[in-house]
Amino acid sequence: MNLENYVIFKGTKDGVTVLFQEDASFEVLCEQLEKKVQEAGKFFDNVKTSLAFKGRTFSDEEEQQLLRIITDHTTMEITFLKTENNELVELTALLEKEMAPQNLTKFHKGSLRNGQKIEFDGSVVIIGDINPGAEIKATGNIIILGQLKGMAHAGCQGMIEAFIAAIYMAPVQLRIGDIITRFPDENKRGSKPAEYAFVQEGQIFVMPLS
Amino acid sequence: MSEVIVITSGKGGVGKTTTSANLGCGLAVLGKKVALVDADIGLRNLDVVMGLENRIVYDLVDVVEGNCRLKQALIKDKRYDGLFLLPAAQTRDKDAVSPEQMQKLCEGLKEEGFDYVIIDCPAGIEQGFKNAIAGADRAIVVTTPEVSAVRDADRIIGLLEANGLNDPMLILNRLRTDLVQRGEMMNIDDVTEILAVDILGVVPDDEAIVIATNKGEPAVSNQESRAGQAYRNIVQRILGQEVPFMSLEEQPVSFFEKLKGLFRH
Repeated sequence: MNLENYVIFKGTKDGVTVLFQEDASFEVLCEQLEKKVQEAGKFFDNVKTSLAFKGRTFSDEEEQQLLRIITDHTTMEITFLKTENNELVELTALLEKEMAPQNLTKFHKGSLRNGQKIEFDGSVVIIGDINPGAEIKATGNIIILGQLKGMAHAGCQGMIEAFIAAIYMAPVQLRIGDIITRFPDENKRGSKPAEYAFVQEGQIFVMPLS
Repeated sequence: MSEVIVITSGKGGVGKTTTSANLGCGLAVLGKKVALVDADIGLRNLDVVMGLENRIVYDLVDVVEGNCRLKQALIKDKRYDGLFLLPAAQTRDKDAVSPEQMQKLCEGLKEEGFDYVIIDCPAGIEQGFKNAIAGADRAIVVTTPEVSAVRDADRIIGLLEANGLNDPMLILNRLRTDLVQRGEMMNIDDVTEILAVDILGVVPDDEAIVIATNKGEPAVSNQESRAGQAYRNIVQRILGQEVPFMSLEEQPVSFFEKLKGLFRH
């Protein structure tokens, strides 16, 4: 076991700085970081701070790995991450990919107008309308408690089991997984029941909900 | 030989998109291979006017950013062979594209073997305008016979010339012959006197255009529409043929129309 201090924690007025030795291998750094964090134990618990990595530059994956070591062993709440190239990275964005549970759902109240777009890793529920020209993209399911007149893309990373449901379904286009379908050109007016769209045998079907 | 034509105006709402759609269709009817490019990123309309909105998968920004190949983004028109649309992105803005990228895009379209590339320019003189004119060989300025539109057209012609697009052609859109005859609207001579450019065509105000636009079917194919006829003439002139300007005299009013008019007053 190497006793050299490859990882040093420092408190600064801007938050916590973690100093890494330049010549150590990444694995050793991870090991040391884990040990240090465990030793510090409750010291970092429930602390809200920004974090800076100094001493060497890491790739995005390495950064994420280091962050995960910290978040796995403490309840420290990291607001910002400052890296060697002095970029302030909003942490939520950085960790979102790794940390978002599969079944996360985003709720959005209000309509989406022409040109507005919602993209989300998970499912989306919209309480409002999707106007023509608006887009909604989700890796999971999409439920629209309103009129769907724009474009909806469910299962956008390939989840073919995803569905799209809307109170009034008259989209410009529907996409589930990598299947794209366009609605008939003629404008359907008048009332119809709520419908949902799903994929069967490589085609998108639309059925009444009840 | 392929040619890139930008349709521009400065002022909004004078009929750039309608003109682009009609000229594109008109050229395609005559067997030309035409690409319509919507440069109005964030406020796209050309796809709606063409009735192709629901076929969009990739757009101009996707091509420029390398998310897809140019061919994948081109939408084949549902009526005319040889007519294709490159739609604008709707959830982005004008800064998503640079003039250099537009230039490259136009080169790419020329290499695809299009006879004509028609670019629908956004209103204004900012980034969107600069993008739209970057790859153009020729410009068509659309204006209406209103003082404000003509003023903006003058500004645009100046900017076009400053960017090396000399001798733009003018389309005078939405002329109301009854108003001109009463001397209450600028006539063709008034406009050409101010702008001092060659006039490519005059399109009369026609409700068939409104109907056609709302249906997503360009009026150029409507044989009864006078505006459609005007667009067909303009297409001929673009192809280098001499076509006399159509008579803008009021057409004889039918008895029924007269009757309707009586009740209106």
